Amino acid sequence: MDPIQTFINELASLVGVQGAFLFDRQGAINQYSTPMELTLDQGVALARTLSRSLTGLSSLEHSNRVDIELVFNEGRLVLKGLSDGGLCILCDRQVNYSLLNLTLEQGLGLLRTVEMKADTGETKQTLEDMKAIVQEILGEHSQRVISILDNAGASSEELMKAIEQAEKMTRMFIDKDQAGRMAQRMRELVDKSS
Amino acid sequence: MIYVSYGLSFLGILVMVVNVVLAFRLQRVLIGGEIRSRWGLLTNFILVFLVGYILSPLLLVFSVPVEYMGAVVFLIFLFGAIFVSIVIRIIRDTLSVLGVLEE
Repeated sequence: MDPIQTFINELASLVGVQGAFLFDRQGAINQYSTPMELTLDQGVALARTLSRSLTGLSSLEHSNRVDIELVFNEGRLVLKGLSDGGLCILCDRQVNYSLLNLTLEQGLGLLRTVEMKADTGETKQTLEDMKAIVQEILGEHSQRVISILDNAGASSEELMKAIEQAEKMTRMFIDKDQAGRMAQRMRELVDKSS
Repeated sequence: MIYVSYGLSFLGILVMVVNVVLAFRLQRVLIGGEIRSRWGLLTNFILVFLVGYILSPLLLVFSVPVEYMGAVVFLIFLFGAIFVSIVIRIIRDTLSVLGVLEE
Protein backbone atom coordinates (compact mmCIF):
# COMPACT_ATOMS: atom_id res chain seq x y z
CA MET A 1 0.00 0.00 0.00
CA ASP A 2 1.05 3.63 -0.60
CA PRO A 3 3.11 4.73 2.46
CA ILE A 4 1.22 8.02 2.68
CA GLN A 5 -2.13 6.25 2.70
CA THR A 6 -0.75 3.88 5.35
CA PHE A 7 0.24 6.87 7.46
CA ILE A 8 -3.19 8.47 7.13
CA ASN A 9 -4.88 5.21 8.06
CA GLU A 10 -2.55 4.89 11.02
CA LEU A 11 -3.49 8.39 12.11
CA ALA A 12 -7.18 7.64 11.80
CA SER A 13 -6.82 4.48 13.86
CA LEU A 14 -5.53 6.39 16.88
CA VAL A 15 -7.95 6.59 19.80
CA GLY A 16 -9.84 9.86 19.61
CA VAL A 17 -9.05 10.55 15.95
CA GLN A 18 -12.13 10.61 13.71
CA GLY A 19 -10.42 10.97 10.38
CA ALA A 20 -7.67 12.65 8.39
CA PHE A 21 -7.18 13.88 4.88
CA LEU A 22 -4.50 15.42 2.67
CA PHE A 23 -5.42 18.31 0.45
CA ASP A 24 -3.57 20.45 -2.09
CA ARG A 25 -3.36 24.24 -2.55
CA GLN A 26 -6.43 24.19 -4.77
CA GLY A 27 -8.42 22.59 -1.95
CA ALA A 28 -8.80 19.18 -3.60
CA ILE A 29 -8.66 16.16 -1.30
CA ASN A 30 -5.84 13.87 -2.41
CA GLN A 31 -5.97 11.11 0.17
CA TYR A 32 -8.25 10.45 3.12
CA SER A 33 -9.08 7.85 5.69
CA THR A 34 -12.40 6.40 6.74
CA PRO A 35 -14.47 6.51 8.83
CA MET A 36 -14.88 10.26 8.77
CA GLU A 37 -17.73 12.11 10.39
CA LEU A 38 -17.97 14.32 7.31
CA THR A 39 -19.64 13.62 4.00
CA LEU A 40 -17.41 13.99 0.95
CA ASP A 41 -19.04 17.34 0.06
CA GLN A 42 -18.44 18.66 3.55
CA GLY A 43 -14.85 17.41 3.38
CA VAL A 44 -14.26 19.18 0.05
CA ALA A 45 -15.75 22.43 1.39
CA LEU A 46 -13.61 22.17 4.51
CA ALA A 47 -10.47 21.44 2.47
CA ARG A 48 -11.08 24.52 0.31
CA THR A 49 -11.55 26.74 3.36
CA LEU A 50 -8.47 25.30 5.05
CA SER A 51 -6.43 25.70 1.88
CA ARG A 52 -7.38 29.38 1.64
CA SER A 53 -6.60 29.89 5.34
CA LEU A 54 -3.20 28.22 4.94
CA THR A 55 -2.35 30.33 1.91
CA GLY A 56 -3.34 33.51 3.78
CA LEU A 57 -1.45 32.58 6.92
CA SER A 58 1.62 31.48 4.95
CA SER A 59 1.90 34.92 3.39
CA LEU A 60 1.37 36.63 6.75
CA GLU A 61 3.94 34.46 8.49
CA HIS A 62 6.43 34.58 5.58
CA SER A 63 6.67 30.83 5.88
CA ASN A 64 5.74 27.98 3.60
CA ARG A 65 4.49 25.83 6.43
CA VAL A 66 1.97 26.98 9.00
CA ASP A 67 0.28 24.82 11.62
CA ILE A 68 -3.19 25.56 13.00
CA GLU A 69 -5.14 24.00 15.81
CA LEU A 70 -8.77 24.79 16.46
CA VAL A 71 -10.59 23.51 19.54
CA PHE A 72 -14.39 23.34 19.50
CA ASN A 73 -16.97 22.09 21.99
CA GLU A 74 -17.41 18.93 19.94
CA GLY A 75 -13.83 18.31 18.94
CA ARG A 76 -10.46 19.45 17.78
CA LEU A 77 -9.12 20.21 14.31
CA VAL A 78 -5.37 19.94 13.75
CA LEU A 79 -3.96 21.33 10.54
CA LYS A 80 -0.37 20.84 9.41
CA GLY A 81 0.77 22.99 6.48
CA LEU A 82 2.82 21.37 3.73
CA SER A 83 4.56 23.12 0.87
CA ASP A 84 1.71 22.41 -1.53
CA GLY A 85 -1.34 21.98 0.69
CA GLY A 86 -1.85 20.49 4.10
CA LEU A 87 -2.87 17.62 6.33
CA CYS A 88 -6.10 17.93 8.31
CA ILE A 89 -6.89 15.72 11.29
CA LEU A 90 -10.31 15.71 12.93
CA CYS A 91 -10.28 14.44 16.48
CA ASP A 92 -12.09 14.41 19.78
CA ARG A 93 -11.49 17.26 22.13
CA GLN A 94 -9.78 14.94 24.62
CA VAL A 95 -7.59 13.11 22.08
CA ASN A 96 -4.35 11.59 23.32
CA TYR A 97 -2.28 14.50 22.12
CA SER A 98 1.16 13.08 22.85
CA LEU A 99 0.43 9.94 20.86
CA LEU A 100 -1.05 11.99 18.03
CA ASN A 101 2.00 14.25 17.91
CA LEU A 102 4.36 11.29 17.92
CA THR A 103 2.56 9.68 14.99
CA LEU A 104 2.37 13.02 13.21
CA GLU A 105 6.06 13.70 13.64
CA GLN A 106 7.01 10.44 11.97
CA GLY A 107 4.43 10.81 9.21
CA LEU A 108 5.18 14.44 8.43
CA GLY A 109 8.82 13.48 7.97
CA LEU A 110 7.69 10.94 5.38
CA LEU A 111 5.37 13.44 3.66
CA ARG A 112 8.07 16.09 3.43
CA THR A 113 10.56 13.56 2.05
CA VAL A 114 8.04 12.59 -0.62
CA GLU A 115 7.49 16.29 -1.39
CA MET A 116 11.22 16.85 -1.72
CA LYS A 117 11.54 13.92 -4.09
CA ALA A 118 8.70 15.31 -6.18
CA ASP A 119 10.44 18.66 -6.25
CA THR A 120 13.46 17.27 -8.01
CA GLY A 121 13.50 17.31 -11.78
CA GLU A 122 11.65 20.14 -13.40
CA THR A 123 11.52 22.52 -10.41
CA LYS A 124 15.19 22.00 -9.73
CA GLN A 125 15.99 22.75 -13.35
CA THR A 126 13.82 25.90 -13.26
CA LEU A 127 15.64 27.06 -10.13
CA GLU A 128 19.02 26.44 -11.74
CA ASP A 129 17.95 28.40 -14.83
CA MET A 130 16.75 31.23 -12.58
CA LYS A 131 20.08 31.32 -10.80
CA ALA A 132 21.86 31.45 -14.17
CA ILE A 133 19.75 34.49 -15.12
CA VAL A 134 20.61 36.21 -11.84
CA GLN A 135 24.29 35.43 -12.33
CA GLU A 136 24.22 36.71 -15.91
CA ILE A 137 22.47 39.98 -15.05
CA LEU A 138 23.94 40.84 -11.65
CA GLY A 139 27.37 39.30 -12.03
CA GLU A 140 29.47 39.79 -8.90
CA HIS A 141 26.47 41.07 -6.92
CA SER A 142 24.35 37.99 -7.57
CA GLN A 143 25.15 36.06 -4.39
CA ARG A 144 22.53 37.64 -2.10
CA VAL A 145 19.78 37.23 -4.67
CA ILE A 146 20.77 33.62 -5.30
CA SER A 147 20.47 32.92 -1.58
CA ILE A 148 16.84 34.14 -1.75
CA LEU A 149 16.20 31.63 -4.53
CA ASP A 150 17.94 28.88 -2.53
CA ASN A 151 15.42 29.37 0.26
CA ALA A 152 12.41 29.33 -2.05
CA GLY A 153 9.87 26.51 -1.95
CA ALA A 154 9.12 24.18 -4.82
CA SER A 155 5.70 25.33 -6.01
CA SER A 156 5.39 27.96 -8.73
CA GLU A 157 3.57 30.19 -6.23
CA GLU A 158 6.55 30.08 -3.91
CA LEU A 159 8.97 30.67 -6.77
CA MET A 160 6.95 33.73 -7.78
CA LYS A 161 7.15 35.02 -4.21
CA ALA A 162 10.93 34.50 -4.22
CA ILE A 163 11.18 36.37 -7.53
CA GLU A 164 9.21 39.26 -6.06
CA GLN A 165 11.55 39.37 -3.07
CA ALA A 166 14.64 39.13 -5.29
CA GLU A 167 13.34 41.95 -7.48
CA LYS A 168 12.67 44.14 -4.47
CA MET A 169 16.14 43.57 -3.06
CA THR A 170 17.83 44.23 -6.41
CA ARG A 171 15.77 47.36 -7.04
CA MET A 172 16.55 48.77 -3.61
CA PHE A 173 20.20 47.82 -3.24
CA ILE A 174 21.70 46.95 -6.62
CA ASP A 175 20.07 48.40 -9.74
CA LYS A 176 16.51 49.34 -10.66
CA ASP A 177 16.75 48.48 -14.39
CA GLN A 178 18.50 45.19 -13.79
CA ALA A 179 15.85 44.29 -11.20
CA GLY A 180 13.03 44.69 -13.72
CA ARG A 181 14.82 42.77 -16.47
CA MET A 182 15.86 39.95 -14.16
CA ALA A 183 12.39 39.52 -12.63
CA GLN A 184 10.69 39.52 -16.02
CA ARG A 185 12.95 36.77 -17.36
CA MET A 186 12.54 34.65 -14.24
CA ARG A 187 8.73 35.03 -14.31
CA GLU A 188 8.64 33.93 -17.93
CA LEU A 189 10.69 30.89 -16.97
CA VAL A 190 8.33 29.91 -14.13
CA ASP A 191 5.28 30.49 -16.34
CA LYS A 192 6.74 28.18 -18.98
CA SER A 193 7.54 25.43 -16.49
CA SER A 194 4.16 25.49 -14.70
CA MET B 1 26.49 83.92 26.92
CA ILE B 2 27.66 84.68 23.40
CA TYR B 3 30.72 82.48 23.96
CA VAL B 4 28.49 79.56 24.96
CA SER B 5 26.69 80.01 21.63
CA TYR B 6 29.97 80.03 19.73
CA GLY B 7 31.12 76.96 21.65
CA LEU B 8 27.94 75.06 20.84
CA SER B 9 28.16 76.13 17.23
CA PHE B 10 31.75 74.90 17.02
CA LEU B 11 30.76 71.51 18.50
CA GLY B 12 27.87 71.26 16.02
CA ILE B 13 30.24 71.97 13.12
CA LEU B 14 32.66 69.35 14.39
CA VAL B 15 29.97 66.65 14.63
CA MET B 16 28.64 67.61 11.20
CA VAL B 17 32.12 67.27 9.63
CA VAL B 18 32.33 63.75 11.08
CA ASN B 19 28.83 63.05 9.68
CA VAL B 20 29.90 64.21 6.21
CA VAL B 21 32.88 61.84 6.29
CA LEU B 22 30.70 58.94 7.47
CA ALA B 23 28.04 59.68 4.84
CA PHE B 24 30.59 59.73 1.99
CA ARG B 25 32.21 56.53 3.25
CA LEU B 26 28.85 54.76 3.32
CA GLN B 27 27.93 56.07 -0.11
CA ARG B 28 31.16 54.63 -1.51
CA VAL B 29 30.31 51.10 -0.35
CA LEU B 30 26.65 51.12 -1.42
CA ILE B 31 26.35 49.13 -4.64
CA GLY B 32 23.45 51.01 -6.25
CA GLY B 33 19.68 50.94 -6.51
CA GLU B 34 17.15 53.26 -4.95
CA ILE B 35 18.83 53.22 -1.55
CA ARG B 36 22.07 54.56 -3.01
CA SER B 37 20.37 57.39 -4.84
CA ARG B 38 18.40 58.32 -1.72
CA TRP B 39 21.59 58.17 0.30
CA GLY B 40 23.18 60.55 -2.21
CA LEU B 41 20.32 62.96 -1.57
CA LEU B 42 20.84 62.63 2.18
CA THR B 43 24.56 63.31 1.76
CA ASN B 44 23.74 66.51 -0.12
CA PHE B 45 21.42 67.54 2.70
CA ILE B 46 24.20 66.89 5.21
CA LEU B 47 26.53 69.12 3.17
CA VAL B 48 23.87 71.87 3.15
CA PHE B 49 23.53 71.49 6.92
CA LEU B 50 27.31 71.77 7.30
CA VAL B 51 27.35 75.00 5.29
CA GLY B 52 24.43 76.27 7.41
CA TYR B 53 26.25 75.34 10.60
CA ILE B 54 29.38 77.20 9.47
CA LEU B 55 27.42 80.27 8.42
CA SER B 56 25.19 80.47 11.50
CA PRO B 57 27.83 81.86 13.93
CA LEU B 58 28.64 84.48 11.30
CA LEU B 59 25.05 85.71 11.64
CA LEU B 60 25.90 86.47 15.25
CA VAL B 61 29.27 88.00 14.38
CA PHE B 62 27.70 90.38 11.86
CA SER B 63 24.64 91.01 14.08
CA VAL B 64 22.15 90.12 11.35
CA PRO B 65 18.62 91.40 12.16
CA VAL B 66 16.35 88.97 14.05
CA GLU B 67 13.83 88.61 11.19
CA TYR B 68 16.57 87.28 8.87
CA MET B 69 17.86 84.97 11.61
CA GLY B 70 14.31 83.62 11.99
CA ALA B 71 14.11 82.86 8.25
CA VAL B 72 17.41 80.98 8.39
CA VAL B 73 16.33 78.97 11.45
CA PHE B 74 13.02 77.96 9.86
CA LEU B 75 14.75 77.08 6.60
CA ILE B 76 16.98 74.70 8.58
CA PHE B 77 13.87 73.28 10.28
CA LEU B 78 12.33 72.63 6.86
CA PHE B 79 15.45 70.89 5.58
CA GLY B 80 15.55 68.88 8.82
CA ALA B 81 11.97 67.70 8.28
CA ILE B 82 12.71 66.63 4.68
CA PHE B 83 15.86 64.88 5.90
CA VAL B 84 13.91 62.92 8.53
CA SER B 85 11.29 61.95 5.94
CA ILE B 86 13.97 60.49 3.62
CA VAL B 87 15.60 58.64 6.53
CA ILE B 88 12.25 57.10 7.52
CA ARG B 89 11.65 55.93 3.94
CA ILE B 90 15.11 54.39 3.68
CA ILE B 91 14.59 52.52 6.96
CA ARG B 92 11.09 51.36 5.95
CA ASP B 93 12.26 50.06 2.57
CA THR B 94 15.28 48.35 4.08
CA LEU B 95 13.17 46.61 6.72
CA SER B 96 10.66 45.65 4.06
CA VAL B 97 13.37 43.96 1.98
CA LEU B 98 14.61 42.19 5.10
CA GLY B 99 11.04 40.90 5.56
CA VAL B 100 10.75 41.95 9.18
CA LEU B 101 7.66 44.14 8.80
CA GLU B 102 4.11 42.97 9.49
CA GLU B 103 2.21 43.55 6.26
